Amino acid sequence: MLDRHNHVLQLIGVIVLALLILPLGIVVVTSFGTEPTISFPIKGFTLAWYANIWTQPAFVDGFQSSLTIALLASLLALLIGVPAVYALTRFDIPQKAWFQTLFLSPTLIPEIVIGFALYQTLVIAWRLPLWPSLLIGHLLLCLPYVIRLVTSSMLHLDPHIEEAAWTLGTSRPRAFFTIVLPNIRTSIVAAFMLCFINSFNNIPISLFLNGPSQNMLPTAILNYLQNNYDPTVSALSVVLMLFTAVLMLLMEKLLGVGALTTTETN
Amino acid sequence: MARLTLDSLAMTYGHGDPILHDLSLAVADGQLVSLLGPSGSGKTTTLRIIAGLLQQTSGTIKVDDEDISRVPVYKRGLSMVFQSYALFPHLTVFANVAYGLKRQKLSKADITAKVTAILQTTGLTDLAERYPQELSGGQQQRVALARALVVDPRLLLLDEPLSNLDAKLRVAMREEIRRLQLQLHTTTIFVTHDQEECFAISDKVAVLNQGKIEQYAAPEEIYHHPQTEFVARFIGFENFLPVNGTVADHAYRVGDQTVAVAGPTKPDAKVLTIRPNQIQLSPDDQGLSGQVTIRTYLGSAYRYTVDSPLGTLQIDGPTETPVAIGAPLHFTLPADQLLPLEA
Repeated sequence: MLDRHNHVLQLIGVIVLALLILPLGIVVVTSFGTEPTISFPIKGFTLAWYANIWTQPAFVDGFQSSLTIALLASLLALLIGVPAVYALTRFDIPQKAWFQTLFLSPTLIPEIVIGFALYQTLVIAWRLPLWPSLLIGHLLLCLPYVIRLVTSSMLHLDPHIEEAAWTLGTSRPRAFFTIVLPNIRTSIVAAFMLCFINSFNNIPISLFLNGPSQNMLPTAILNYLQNNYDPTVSALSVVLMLFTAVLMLLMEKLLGVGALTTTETN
Repeated sequence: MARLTLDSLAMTYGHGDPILHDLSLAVADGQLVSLLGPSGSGKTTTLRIIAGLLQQTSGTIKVDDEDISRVPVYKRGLSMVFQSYALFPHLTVFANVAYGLKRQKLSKADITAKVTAILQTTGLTDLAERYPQELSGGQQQRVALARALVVDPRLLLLDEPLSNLDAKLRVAMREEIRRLQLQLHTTTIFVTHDQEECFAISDKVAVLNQGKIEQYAAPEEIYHHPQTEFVARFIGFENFLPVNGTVADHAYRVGDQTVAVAGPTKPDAKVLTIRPNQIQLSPDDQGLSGQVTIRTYLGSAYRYTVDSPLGTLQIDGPTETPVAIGAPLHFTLPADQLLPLEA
């Protein structure tokens, strides 16, 4: 157990928190500065940079496609991942360990390699358009989160409760929806949030599958920074922070308290 | 309310050794029958096959005259209580109990009436709105029973339902189970490894060993007349004397000793068995003599391990007159208590 009164630990905690929060605080401050380049401390106050975000089509389009891809990839990852986890934890499947490693492998390979491999295969070799390629790339990114979180909560769920439902006259699919799903809901919500945030923020995979016709927000920001160093990027960062915070609060409120802070059910 | 007939059930996992061999059992309507055996004897496998949670390799299961051998679990109309209780954690006690009724075509009012009635019977009325994790083990057990009984199952299957409870509650719950079972006249199969538990509440007991039924009889019959050495060992016979042959029609040869028994001898007998408390200590120097090597205090008696001409014996003696380790002990084997076993 950690000793709560250990001052050294407290100090380390404060330093870590400060290192996490300070840069964000500086970004927030710089977004209101009047200078044409990002500088700290600021000399005057303006909201002009916030207005400037909406004049950049790359940001507006990027936001829309990042949002669409993140939502779709997260949903698809759940639709594929949850049944896969159910099968892996409830049926005797030959080569079970091999499948488990396969599903988790995207976390083991550097994302930049995945991006490059997908670009080579999907775009160059198969001549797939960019949008579906991006979706596949982000799906690969999301799947391990679903597999890992949902597996851990399935393993904590007594298999007998499902059997009890069957003996009470409930068919297997129906028991899955009425008994299993409500009890792994927390991990599904958490997995969805992690998928969404990781997909929405992803650069390495999007970088390879980006094009003039297909813009993603993080890569758009990167491009913008190469040519401009004005506080528009700070303003956009603040907007994104607020967007993510609101989204998480909404999920917490709608889908249950503790969904994001606990990984276990019951 | 049904008869259960198991006919030549066999079960093998993959290419491994068979778990069940040719297991047959008939359970009369409204009876409570226990499957008793050590772990690995196949009792839980048998129960899960009856429930339809496992598919037997061969053999048939009949409820009344209906063959349910290939019927999927959710259409069998049997309910089961699990060792872990297996309550639905996201539902209240009321909703847990109502769950099975929702699959039957009943009106909401009927469901509420049935659930309310069974909660009353099982003493759970005040807990209806609680969640399982807010209940004690005994209360969870009652909910599991109520949930299984409310659907009016043809058979009630109980898989070691008492083993997670403490000793005092276990006695109370087994009486509760028997009371409900008699009141509702539900044919019940009860799996346990605890002989006291199953003798207390069963109409009949099937003793299982390595996937076979060794003996199927009323508890009294099994207690007094075990048919095999396995059954005898399982229910507390501690002394097994290997038989070399018979002496006329009233005694057996054990080593170089002659042991007299009541009644005619059986030529096929392989061992003689007797419980430690049935061996009589001789106050004088009569009978056989042995030397005490171990003494264990049992509360109601001392149990002595005795080296004797018949081999090592377990003998119970009164606590008022303890015999020291190393001291001689004199005893006789009452002829009418010795039980010859053929297997």
